[in-house]
Amino acid sequence: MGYDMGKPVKKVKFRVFRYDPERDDKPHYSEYTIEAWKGMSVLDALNEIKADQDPTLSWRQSCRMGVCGSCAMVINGKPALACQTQVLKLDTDVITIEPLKSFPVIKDLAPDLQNLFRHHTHVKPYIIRENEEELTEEEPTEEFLQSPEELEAFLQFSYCIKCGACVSACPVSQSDPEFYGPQALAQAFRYISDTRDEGEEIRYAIVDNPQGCWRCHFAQSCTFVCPKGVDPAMAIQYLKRDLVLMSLGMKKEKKRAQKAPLGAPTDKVPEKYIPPEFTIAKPE
Amino acid sequence: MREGRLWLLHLIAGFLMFFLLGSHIFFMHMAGGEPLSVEETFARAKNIAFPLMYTIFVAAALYHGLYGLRGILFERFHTPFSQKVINWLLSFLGTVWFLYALATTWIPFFK
Repeated sequence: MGYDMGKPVKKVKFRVFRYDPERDDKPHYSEYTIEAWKGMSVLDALNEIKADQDPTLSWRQSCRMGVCGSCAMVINGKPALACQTQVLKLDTDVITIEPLKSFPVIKDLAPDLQNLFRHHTHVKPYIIRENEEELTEEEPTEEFLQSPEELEAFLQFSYCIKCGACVSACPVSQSDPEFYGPQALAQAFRYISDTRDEGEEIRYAIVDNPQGCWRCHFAQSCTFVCPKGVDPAMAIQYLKRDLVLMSLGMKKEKKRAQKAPLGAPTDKVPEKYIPPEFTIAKPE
Repeated sequence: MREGRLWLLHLIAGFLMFFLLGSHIFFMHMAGGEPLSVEETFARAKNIAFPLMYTIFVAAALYHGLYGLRGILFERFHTPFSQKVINWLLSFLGTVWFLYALATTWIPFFK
C-alpha cells in the first residue's frame, strides 16, 4: 500500500487496545504483525494496519508532523505522539498501544479530551488587559515591546500543543479528574509570566485552589513525556513559589510590557527590545 | 492565599521533622550512649527542653501527616462541602491528638 517507504527491516507485533463503549463490555487487545521499515512511525504502522488488516481500528490524527497533538497515545507504557515515535527506535518486537490515560475512551485509541480543554479554558489562556479595548481596536496605534529575555520567560510554555500526554502521565490527574493538571497550570504560568498580560491576579486566584497547583506532587512525569520539550512541572513550582511569596507579602510587582507607536523604526525602540538578529549595524 | 500558607507550613513542618526525628532517635534509642534506668528516664523528662522539643515534634509531625492525608482525600472528594467536612474532621482529629500528646509529654514534667 501507499505507506511503504523502504525495505522491511523486521516483523513487529502490535498489541492494540480495543474498546467500543457502545458494543464492548470491557476492553481487550487485538494483535497485528507488520513489516517495519526504517523511518516508519507508530502512526504509519497504525495506518498500515487499518488499510491492510483491520479497518475498524480507530484513533485520532491530523498533521503527522508533531504539530497538532492529535495522535498522542500510550506507546509501550509511555504517552507519546504516534507520529514522532519511530517503530525501530523502540527496539522491541512487541509494541503495546493504548489510549491516553486519565481520559474516557471514545473508541479504541481515541480519548475524549473534554476534561483537558475544560481545565485549559478555566485558567483563561489568553492575554488579559485592564483596558479591554486595547485588544479589540480595529486600527491599533501602539504595539507592545518585549525583550528577548522577557520572551524567554514564557516561550517554552507557548510550545504546548495540547496533546494531553502530560495529563496522561500525571499520577494526580489519573486519580483526580478535577485536578487542573500540568497542561492547564503550565498555561496559567505562561500567561502570568507574559509581560503583556495584566490578568495575573485573576489567574493566581484560580490556581490557588485545593484542585489547583497545590495538588501537584512534583512527580515530573509531565515534563518527561512532553513531546515539545515543555516543562510543566517547573511552571507549577513557579506558581507555588509566587503564591507563597504573595501570601507572605514578598512578591515583587510584575514587570509590564512597554508600548511603542505601531511600526516604530528600530532606532526609536530601546536597544534591549531588539532581538540580536535584527540589530542594525551602525555605519562606520 | 490560604492554600499557599498551608503548603508552606507543610514544608516547614517537614524541615523541622528532619531534625526533630533525628533528636528523637538519638534520645530514645541511643540515650547519649549509655542505657538509662527508669529514674534517670523520669529525671530527663524534668528538663524543660525535653517536653518542649516533643511538643514541637508532635505538632510538626501531626500537621505534616494530616496535611498529606488531606491531599489524598481531596483527590477523591472534590465537592466544596466534602472538602469542608474533611478540613473540619482533620482539624478536630489533629487537635485531639495534639492535646493527648501534650498531656503525655508535660505530665511527667509537672509531676
